[in-house]
Amino acid sequence: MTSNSNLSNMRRLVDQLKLEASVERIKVSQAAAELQQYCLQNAAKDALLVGVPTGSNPFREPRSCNLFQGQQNIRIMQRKTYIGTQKND
Amino acid sequence: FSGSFGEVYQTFHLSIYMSSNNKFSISPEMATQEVQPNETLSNLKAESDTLKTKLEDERAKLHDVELHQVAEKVDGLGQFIMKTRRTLKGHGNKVLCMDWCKDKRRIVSSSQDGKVIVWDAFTTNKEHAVTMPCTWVMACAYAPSGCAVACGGLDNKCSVYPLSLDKNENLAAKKKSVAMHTNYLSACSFTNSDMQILTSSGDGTCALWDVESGQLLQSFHGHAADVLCLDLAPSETGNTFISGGCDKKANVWDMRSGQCIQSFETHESDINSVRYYPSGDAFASGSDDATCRLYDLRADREVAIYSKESIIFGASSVDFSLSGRLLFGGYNDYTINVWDVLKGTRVSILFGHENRVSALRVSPDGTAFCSGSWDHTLRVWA
Repeated sequence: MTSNSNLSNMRRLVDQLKLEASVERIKVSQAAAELQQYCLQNAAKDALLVGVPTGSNPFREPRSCNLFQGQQNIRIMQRKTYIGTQKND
Repeated sequence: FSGSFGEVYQTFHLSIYMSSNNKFSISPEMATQEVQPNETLSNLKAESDTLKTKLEDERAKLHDVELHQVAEKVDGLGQFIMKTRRTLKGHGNKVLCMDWCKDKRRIVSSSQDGKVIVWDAFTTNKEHAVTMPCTWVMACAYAPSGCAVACGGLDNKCSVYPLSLDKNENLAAKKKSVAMHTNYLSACSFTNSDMQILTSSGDGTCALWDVESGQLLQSFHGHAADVLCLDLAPSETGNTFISGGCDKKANVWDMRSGQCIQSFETHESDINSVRYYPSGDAFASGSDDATCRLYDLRADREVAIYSKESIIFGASSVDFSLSGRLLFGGYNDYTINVWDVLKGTRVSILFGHENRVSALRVSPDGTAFCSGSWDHTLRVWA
């Protein structure tokens, strides 16, 4: 019957709320301080935040493979042509 | 009865016990009238309202300061130069989802055109391609071993495809159907191994499955509408995961018991994306209400809102940088906004996609992040 299912749904909702109400909580000031501490402790390792020395971010350096975009393509082609010319000497 | 929280709890507990035993007799505290079924329902409703208020009060008591106030003494962030370093072209329609491989270079992506593609993001080469029997493949995930991918969408299933080293082999032949929902699959993720998969669905549930047998190990009920996203807790913090849905709620679940242990309802619209903070003590969400928010699990409340009056389109996908200081959000206005998590300010806005950004993930070692878009492409930024 609908009234019984409504009843059991309500009961479930109240049980759920009681469970959530019983959660142990800490103050926002303490939680915030710990979030901040985590950020600062790990900041040095965060490449997107501080950047990394040239050459160690594989996406910032072009690789000697096919399919590249823009200027890097032209530079690599020029270098290859130069090397080719040298070999012919 | 106004009474203290304890008194309300006791009285209420008594009425539950009685109604479940079908003994509609009177409790000592109540008046001398018989308790009817519909009256019990309205009592329960009143109690649930009282409990909700109590919950808000308890949370508010600990709200002694704002996160950005605590962070005032922290140095501000400088200018960011983040550019598209790779563009992955090959999908014939909207990119809906993407995931990184643990090797930090391979990416799996899925699209409305029914294709799932595995890319080498360094070279932009396509390594594998699978055609699914359905369109709108809304979810895809890389297995921790790097040897398989999982995907699904309008087929209501999550299927696992082992990746073969032989390029000529037909991957579809080895497909294993793992999860079955009664509505679309919105998200999937392997747990710590290739053996289990967690799924979320338009049917309002999440579920944990054994990959080998396809058996349902645990189901998670509690959302009142479609579940759109999920994220597993970082392995150090234990067996929990978070989910977000069209009911505007973000729920935290215990994977072993199936119980919802915490619930947050502060967004004003669908929650499209949830992601744990790297320490596991907090999580961020992105929503159609054009805001991203940060919830701290130990304070049990929202602690920051990332929004601007000029941002009016929904956030579809969020992820943190390695240290948790930056939050990247992909939006339906084609941009990616980069937020200072501690100070609550926007530090950068990235243009490049020519349609909605639908997926965004930072690479496993934090050196880059990838965005997928309705413009059919994926971009790797660093």
